[in-house]
Amino acid sequence: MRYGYFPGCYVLSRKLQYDLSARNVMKKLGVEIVEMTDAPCCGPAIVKSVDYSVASALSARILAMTKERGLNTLVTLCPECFSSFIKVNTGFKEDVKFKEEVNHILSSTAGLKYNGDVEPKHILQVVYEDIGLKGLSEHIIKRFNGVKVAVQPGCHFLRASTSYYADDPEDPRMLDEVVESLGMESVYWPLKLWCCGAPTLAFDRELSLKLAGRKLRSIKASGADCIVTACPYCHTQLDQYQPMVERRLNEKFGIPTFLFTQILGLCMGLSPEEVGLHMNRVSPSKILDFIG
Amino acid sequence: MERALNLSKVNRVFLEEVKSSHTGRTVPYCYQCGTCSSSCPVAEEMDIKPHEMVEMIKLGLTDALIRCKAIWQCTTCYMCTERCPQEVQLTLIILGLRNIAMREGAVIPEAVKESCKNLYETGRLVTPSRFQRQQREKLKLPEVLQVDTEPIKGMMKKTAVAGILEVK
Repeated sequence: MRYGYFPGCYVLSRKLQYDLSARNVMKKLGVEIVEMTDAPCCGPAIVKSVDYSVASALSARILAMTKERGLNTLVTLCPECFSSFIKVNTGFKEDVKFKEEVNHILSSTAGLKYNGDVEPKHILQVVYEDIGLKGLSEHIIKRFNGVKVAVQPGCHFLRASTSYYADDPEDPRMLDEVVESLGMESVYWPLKLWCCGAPTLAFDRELSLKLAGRKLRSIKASGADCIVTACPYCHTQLDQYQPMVERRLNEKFGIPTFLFTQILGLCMGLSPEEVGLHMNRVSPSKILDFIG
Repeated sequence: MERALNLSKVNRVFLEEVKSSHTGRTVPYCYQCGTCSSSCPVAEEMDIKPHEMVEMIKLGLTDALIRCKAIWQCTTCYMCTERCPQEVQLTLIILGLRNIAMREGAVIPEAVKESCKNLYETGRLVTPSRFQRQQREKLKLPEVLQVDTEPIKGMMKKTAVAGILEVK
């Protein structure tokens, strides 16, 4: 397995624990990565809001760069980047005019062409599909037996399945099965599929934190001991901003929130430092007591 | 919002314009069932509900649409697109409305200006601060390399925000 590795701008500077834990986990799993740290922005929602075609040309540029380096697969950590790449590929298939328009922008500015033939992969798919739960179990030496988890896969990994089917969009199981293989119990919580509010943070801060608060309340009511997510933005909303949401709602949560590669790394024998646990905002100490 | 349809404000070519774009090509399939609005996590906050946006495009109520708050409240969670029985890609339609709003000069949100300036200058929306660079070094993470920004500059000059980027 040899993949291009594109953590995304946000992870590269603001979510170092995801970059660190993902690299260490992939090393243990024997996944070979090719650095793409010189790649630009993927053209996420805020750029799509300015100009959808230009944003798509940004995504296509990264995919074309991947191809130029002799690679067919690009691994992302961020579901937003993942979704940007997917939407270029499916958009190219569904709409020839769009493909021509994006390629015109791309060739006139970057001198590149993109055919829609590089496969974007989220790191959760690398773990679940390429390594598989059976393959993964060979690397697991510790388990979090009995810990109840609220799983938060991230909207852009799941939807819209009409253009790309990664996991069941109404009843996602991929991340749940991964944490269950680590001894954890994935609990039902009604707002699992709802947006965490991160994408509106820049436009409407109060609305964004209100959405995060709703999710945290739903998680608390479900009896979960912690949250596990595959999205760096969900992690920021639910972990970093958790104290801020607590103050606004005048309600205590104190729910540790992990990126799934952190939990995975710990179960593979990596140290808390090697998965960057010290960079999480809400103290994970009460969960760490369960590992064994 | 004014709920009565004022015919003097109707833009008769708007539907054609939206329909011919990549983001708006699924507009005609909508039959107003309202599944999108009942699936939307922010619909209750919106002055114009998602299904109403589609009907307003069909009616040519351009002005009300590009000046409404609702198109900026969308979280782009794709729940509406997921559940639409007609496969209307509503999230893309809303992004397309934002594109038109900016092109027509109706609004450029502060957050967009800031992000686009970063993108134009560095090639990334967020770049590591000095502290974050030091942290990466301490954690033995590879250095974040400079992006070749020339292509991005060329791309950004084609957009509605070109004017705020101090394009020379």
